Amino acid sequence: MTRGMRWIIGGVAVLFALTQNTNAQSFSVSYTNGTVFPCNGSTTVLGPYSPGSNVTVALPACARRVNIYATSNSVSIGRITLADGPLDGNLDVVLGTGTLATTDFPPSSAGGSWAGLSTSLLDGTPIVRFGGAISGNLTQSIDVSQISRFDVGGAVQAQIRADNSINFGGIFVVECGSVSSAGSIVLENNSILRVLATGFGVNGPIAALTGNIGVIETQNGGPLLADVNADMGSINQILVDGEIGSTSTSPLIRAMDGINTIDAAAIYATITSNAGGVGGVRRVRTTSGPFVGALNAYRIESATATDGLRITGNLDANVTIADNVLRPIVITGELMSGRTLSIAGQMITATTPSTTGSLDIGTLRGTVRFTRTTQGVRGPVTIDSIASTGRLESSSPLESGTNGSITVDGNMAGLVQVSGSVAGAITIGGELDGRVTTTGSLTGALTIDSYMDGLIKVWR
Amino acid sequence: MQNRPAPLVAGFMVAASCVAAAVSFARAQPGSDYDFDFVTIGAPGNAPYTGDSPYNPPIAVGRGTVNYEYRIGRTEVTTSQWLGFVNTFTMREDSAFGLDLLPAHWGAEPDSAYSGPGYRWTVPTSGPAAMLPVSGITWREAALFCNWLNNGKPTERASIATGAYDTSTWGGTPPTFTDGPTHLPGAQFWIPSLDEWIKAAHFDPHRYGEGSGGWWVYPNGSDDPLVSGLPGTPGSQTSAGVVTEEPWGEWSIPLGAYPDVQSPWGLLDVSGGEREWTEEVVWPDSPQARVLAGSWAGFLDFGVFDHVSAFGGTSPSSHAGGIRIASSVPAPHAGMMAIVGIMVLTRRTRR
Repeated sequence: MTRGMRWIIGGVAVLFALTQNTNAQSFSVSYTNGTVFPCNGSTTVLGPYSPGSNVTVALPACARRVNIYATSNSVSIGRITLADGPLDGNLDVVLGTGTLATTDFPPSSAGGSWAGLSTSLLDGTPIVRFGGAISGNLTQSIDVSQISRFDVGGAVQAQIRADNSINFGGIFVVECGSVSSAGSIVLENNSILRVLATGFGVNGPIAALTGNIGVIETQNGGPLLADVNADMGSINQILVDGEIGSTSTSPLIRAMDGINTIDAAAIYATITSNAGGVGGVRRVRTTSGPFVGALNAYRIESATATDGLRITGNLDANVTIADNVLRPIVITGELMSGRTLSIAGQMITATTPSTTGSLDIGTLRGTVRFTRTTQGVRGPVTIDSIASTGRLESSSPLESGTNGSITVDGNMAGLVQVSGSVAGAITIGGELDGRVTTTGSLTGALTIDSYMDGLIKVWR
Repeated sequence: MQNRPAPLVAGFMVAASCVAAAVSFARAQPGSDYDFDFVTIGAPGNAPYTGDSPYNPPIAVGRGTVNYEYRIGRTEVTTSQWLGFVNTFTMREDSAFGLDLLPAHWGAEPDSAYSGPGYRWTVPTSGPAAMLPVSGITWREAALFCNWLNNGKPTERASIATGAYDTSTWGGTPPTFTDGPTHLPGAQFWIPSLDEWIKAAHFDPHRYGEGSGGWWVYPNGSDDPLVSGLPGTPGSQTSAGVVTEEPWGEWSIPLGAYPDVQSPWGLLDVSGGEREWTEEVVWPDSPQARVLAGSWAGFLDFGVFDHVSAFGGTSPSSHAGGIRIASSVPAPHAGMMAIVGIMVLTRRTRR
């Protein structure tokens, strides 16, 4: 072999190796045509493309499916812009190989990070249906007609938006490591089945513009630091392993037709379950911290037996219940000074139908106000102690035989005020340094277990 | 007469082996069936599902064959069955651990009469609370529950670390996933495999006549979708798709509320109730998910997940499902075996 031959062979080998390396770190796009004449069902593969490069794909009118896939889960896929294409019908875009998933079965990852999808250059108005998975971040937006399930192993750093007016049988699922503050998830029609953040929480907003939100869940201590809106629907579950909001961030959680469950370590948020409607809440619970902000609800609902509002810590929020309280409100810490818990309907404990409306507060420093003028208190009120700033006001008489009672286990330095007569029981377990006043008669039991240095005032 | 010693010996051997089996059985079965109502799934070696899969991916196609007999709960796990599990680990000073065992929905409520340590849950005696499905639990909580059952409902936390599932294998956040894929050999209670679940829900050993098995598309022994409606409403078959006037009242529909709607084996509430976890790990290249099967109360498009071919899946740490317990078929009761042995012995002796 001559020296020249050796150089040639060596050069070819190097080129081959370089080519192979490029192929090993690349992504491709393919499109598959429909099978109805004149379309022939053929598949055309484009690429391979260098990692991260942006690609515009001119689709034929026959195209019905686009596949986007990389050679490994570490390869970044650039922004894909679809152009031309079919005038109508379905156009499936699969981030991965094979056909589009139509359930919420977990998809296989098609690559690393992805710069998203644009359909703005399509000629017609096909229904772009999308599904798939990447192992890295979503760095730029996608805006499609429908999403079945999209898994992002890293962070959602841009907007995921879908119309879903013709949806996949109620499926719209996004599972991700996190939603960053630049990311968001917006569904224009129908309902979000599930958004799951397995890593660093949800830091960007989530909205179902006309439908409901099923489940938003964070794991591994991830917080929820952004707004959640179902302005024309309901929210089923928000299960946050970390905290909702922070001392410096107070997101809005809003629904028109009610909120079933909110669980978090602590809550710093404004929660409204009746925004423009009559939605109640079934459970709002903190497991280890305060609730700071506000809660507005039509009702504390009775569906299934559990606490309505349970705060394992202080309630530093104004709570406004427009109608009845049918499940317990439990605040293990303090209702903070300057805060008001207002109930406009009845707080009811009864057997038929089964309700367990009650109020249990550690220390009352703020105000509890029952504003209904008849039978507002039909369940037990139990307070460990009432500080000098604490006020418990009932605009209705405390009637006997209604399960209504007021018990202060410890000292009472604030005010208990009843408009009308007191035929039910008021018990002060400790010292009475404050006042108990009624504008009506006192025919029930007023018990003071310790000494009294305060005032009992009965108008009649 | 010359042959008499042989049956005698055989009879004694049967009786002796039964006694040995009794000892062995007692050791292998730390718990009874508790209060679970199991149905036995027979027809080992049944043919797999090979029908259509209108939903993608076609998970069920080629699946559903089970080569052994097993048992599975007639209903999903109920609130009353889960209650003892939660209380065991929350009625203590360090009860924070117990929070992880709480379902997102169930029928229990905090027991205000209990003053500690920790906290206790109770089930209201009135209404359907005891029979409400345990829903919104994680796969791992379900696995711990199986461990608890396998170990005779112990009170020590360490003792639920294994049994059906070895929790020391459980990894951290995705993509880390080191969990043992299936239950441990010898477990008595476990989360059903996908094949076990599909077979129990959709396979009929007499689909095409006596002894001629086959598959139904829907889990009520039918190829027609179920009809949604409140219990007692004529024609209604499932709580899936029910949306009550009372918000989320569909979650107050107890298990067993549609007693005439059963799988060919007698399973209730495969449609409706809660979505059910299976053991199935999803795909080798993204194995951080477990498969969920069936539809759930209130879900409007329940027909998708009632179909034999449609499944979902998510992280084993997601509060996404409930469970229907699978169990081994107990060996014939040793006492009965002994009686049979003695009967054989005495009958032979009389001749």
